[in-house]
Amino acid sequence: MAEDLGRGSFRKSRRRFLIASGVATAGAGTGIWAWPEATSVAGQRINDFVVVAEDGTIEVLLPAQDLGQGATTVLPMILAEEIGADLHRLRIHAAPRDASRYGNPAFDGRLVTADSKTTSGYFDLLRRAGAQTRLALIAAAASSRGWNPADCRAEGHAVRHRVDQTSIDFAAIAQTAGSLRAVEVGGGDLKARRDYVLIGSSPPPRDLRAKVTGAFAFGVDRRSPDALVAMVVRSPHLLGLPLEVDESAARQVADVEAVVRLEDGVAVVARNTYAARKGASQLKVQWTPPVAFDDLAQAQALIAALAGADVAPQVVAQSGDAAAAGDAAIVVDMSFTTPQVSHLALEPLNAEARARALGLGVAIRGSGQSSDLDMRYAARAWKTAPFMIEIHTAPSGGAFGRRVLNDTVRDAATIAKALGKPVQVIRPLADELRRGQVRPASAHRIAARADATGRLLYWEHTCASDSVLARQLPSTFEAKGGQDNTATDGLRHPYRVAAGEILRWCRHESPPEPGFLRGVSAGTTIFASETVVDVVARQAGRDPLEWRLAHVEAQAGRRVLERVAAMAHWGAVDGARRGIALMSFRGSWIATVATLVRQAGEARVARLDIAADVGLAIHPRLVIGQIEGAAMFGLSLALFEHLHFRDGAAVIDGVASYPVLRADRSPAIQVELVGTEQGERPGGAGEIGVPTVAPAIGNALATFAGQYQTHLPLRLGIGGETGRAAAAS
Amino acid sequence: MFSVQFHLNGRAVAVEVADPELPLLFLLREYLKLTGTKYGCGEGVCGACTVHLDGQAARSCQIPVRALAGVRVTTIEGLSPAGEHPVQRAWIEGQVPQCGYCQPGQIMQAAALLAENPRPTTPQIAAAMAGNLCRCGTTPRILAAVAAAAQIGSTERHHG
Repeated sequence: MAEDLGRGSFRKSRRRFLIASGVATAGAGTGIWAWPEATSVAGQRINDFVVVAEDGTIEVLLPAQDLGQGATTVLPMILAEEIGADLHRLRIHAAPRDASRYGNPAFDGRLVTADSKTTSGYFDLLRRAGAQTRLALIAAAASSRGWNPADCRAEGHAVRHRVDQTSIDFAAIAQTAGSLRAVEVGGGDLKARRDYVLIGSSPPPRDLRAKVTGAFAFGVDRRSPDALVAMVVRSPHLLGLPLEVDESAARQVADVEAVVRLEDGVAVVARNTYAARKGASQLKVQWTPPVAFDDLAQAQALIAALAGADVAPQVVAQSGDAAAAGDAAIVVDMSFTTPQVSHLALEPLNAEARARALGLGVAIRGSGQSSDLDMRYAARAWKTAPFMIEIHTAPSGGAFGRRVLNDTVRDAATIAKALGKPVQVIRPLADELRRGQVRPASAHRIAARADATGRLLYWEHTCASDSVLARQLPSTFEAKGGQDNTATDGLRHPYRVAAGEILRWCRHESPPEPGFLRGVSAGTTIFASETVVDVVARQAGRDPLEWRLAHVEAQAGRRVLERVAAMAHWGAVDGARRGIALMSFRGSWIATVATLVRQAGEARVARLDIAADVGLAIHPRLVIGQIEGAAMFGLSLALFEHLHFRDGAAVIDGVASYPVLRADRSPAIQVELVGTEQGERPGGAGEIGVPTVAPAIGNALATFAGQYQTHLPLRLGIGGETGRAAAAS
Repeated sequence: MFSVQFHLNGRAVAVEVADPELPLLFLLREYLKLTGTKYGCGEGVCGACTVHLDGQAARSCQIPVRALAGVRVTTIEGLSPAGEHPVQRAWIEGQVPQCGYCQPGQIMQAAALLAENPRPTTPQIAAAMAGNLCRCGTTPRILAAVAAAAQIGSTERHHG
């Protein structure tokens, strides 16, 4: 796939072209609508990603979204490195919604910014696009001066001749129309790792200043002056639908313009957010009766699903056989459950919809992670073809996977179509907690066997959960043969197993709407597996760090373990308790040590030490920020988050009903990257910080309590709820 | 119509609104077009809408317009002329923001803390910032930046 997209990316250059952002057709903005305006990028087009403007500016067509992860800094750095450009002389534009040219090769060629795959997925495409630009600039400079191109190099936004030491700025080269010609590039044309000057440095991220002055605008800030605001009232009960609606009081609220009935809710449309909110509070709706659903029933159903109550378990991976394990001295059999959790991104989900092309199509603007999937929601709601849809993605105020499936696009398109007016839908955070998407609850059973020395002989991990793919993207689920990697990610552990292993998943459908959440299923599978290997090590009387080192073959795995042990003073006799967890995920390695201290009958997480090998770190400070931030997210999930359900509804009075990590409970945290000097390619960095935090804390807690906890969130009360397997002291 | 006069970022303003219960947050964002103050939970729980009222940090989603008469309101846009407040400089130096959505509120909260307590201890900083959520997990960098801003402020008072 990477090769196909790569070849398709290098087409013959044109003098000037226009992108109507969101669609790939060349057409002028007509000025009929307030937006979208067609974006004009003038200059010499080198390839799909680069246009060189007359003043030497490198115009970049960026295929990824700004979620705060640094994509608008890191991807341009890759280009600038290969080109020899000055990062300040790059200008960033949103790439058109054309998956054939801009889709992420690591994401089935889709336009999705998620799954820790942006930097790794676009790395090769951008290197080649950059090298092609550099070669074109060098060829043009050489030809104008009579130089041998082999004597030239590009650096500091100029082409420099090695012998006579003179240089020509990119602006001087680009001034001459038609001077730049794209040639095919091969692997030998790419810059060598040792020659990187920009990659591996940490310049101020793009928009840093705008983000501290309030000038940076997110989707919810970008409502058009002529657009109305809509809030959609849904039943507090899962799956609830409106039966009778009394809208008279809502309509009487000043500035309320309309009430629109939707299939699954009722929209109050107003001239401003306050009126929409007030109007929504005045609606009187009779809903369909609640379904029977609560936390306890859910956990029991998931445990039953593990035993094949719903469907036969699907084998994800299998090797060797159980019989070969023989009589094991150590037998561990543990079950785990994890609850539904929510993203709680602070910017409310939002989308603005506006008719275009005489009402035949619709333009969407909102905070999003996937223009492809936004388009799908819009096309269905507007009942039109994909090419009639324009998507303008705004920066997200927190995403964490939630905006991959931005269902407010559907609401906005439906309401705008019904009213014939542009409408921005805003979903309040509490509404999202009640009826929004969740990381599905899960159950796990792990049966492990080891010999008396703790050598792992057999491993069987079965997990059960709902399937985001099956529920939300059924055609993708079918195309993948009924497999859902977002339900089975993290099942594979990094340890040597002598005799046999089997990994299985059981799908169990459940009323809450499932969604993708940072780390997806690794946030639960790793909790289970890293707890069980700790139990095995303790039962064999071995140090959990030493056991892991003895069972991991990969150099990178050993390196992160050794580094984190040194950072955290593993083995120190200082009254603190330490727990460790290791994971290989998204092409990277990470090891986390949680250090706990006793304080007033409770354990307190005093610090987190993390060592990670993400391969080549393009911008180390952003990478460390991603890992640190994900670890804080993981800490919040480990200690606080549980979206409770009772009588078919989320137990949510308001946002305060969903506790999350706050500054006064934040531990000290230290993150170090190892192996980045040797790294040739970037691995994933956005999610890896999440999953190891819970087991590292749980394993430390077990040294206080003597027993391992098997449910999330963990309880810090020493001697709290415990698991079935006792920890040897 | 309900009319009220107050001071916004150093200038006297007079506004007329239909509903005196309109929260300051929406007055700022939708009438005065100052969108640096962010709409988060709307329930006073997340801190994204933090502004200063007479120098004190307040959640603008919980302040009705009727309570504003004569009050000095400062928003992120008015904190400093060019984003040069010590807190903002510490934020830039520390490369604190990720998505950035909570950051104006965090910065306003930190600036109010330092105005009242120029040399806060580490626990005082953590306690003062505990009402401002950051889901990207920049909290460690926020706490470090508040301490750094206190340093900048203290250096400037001595040499400025």
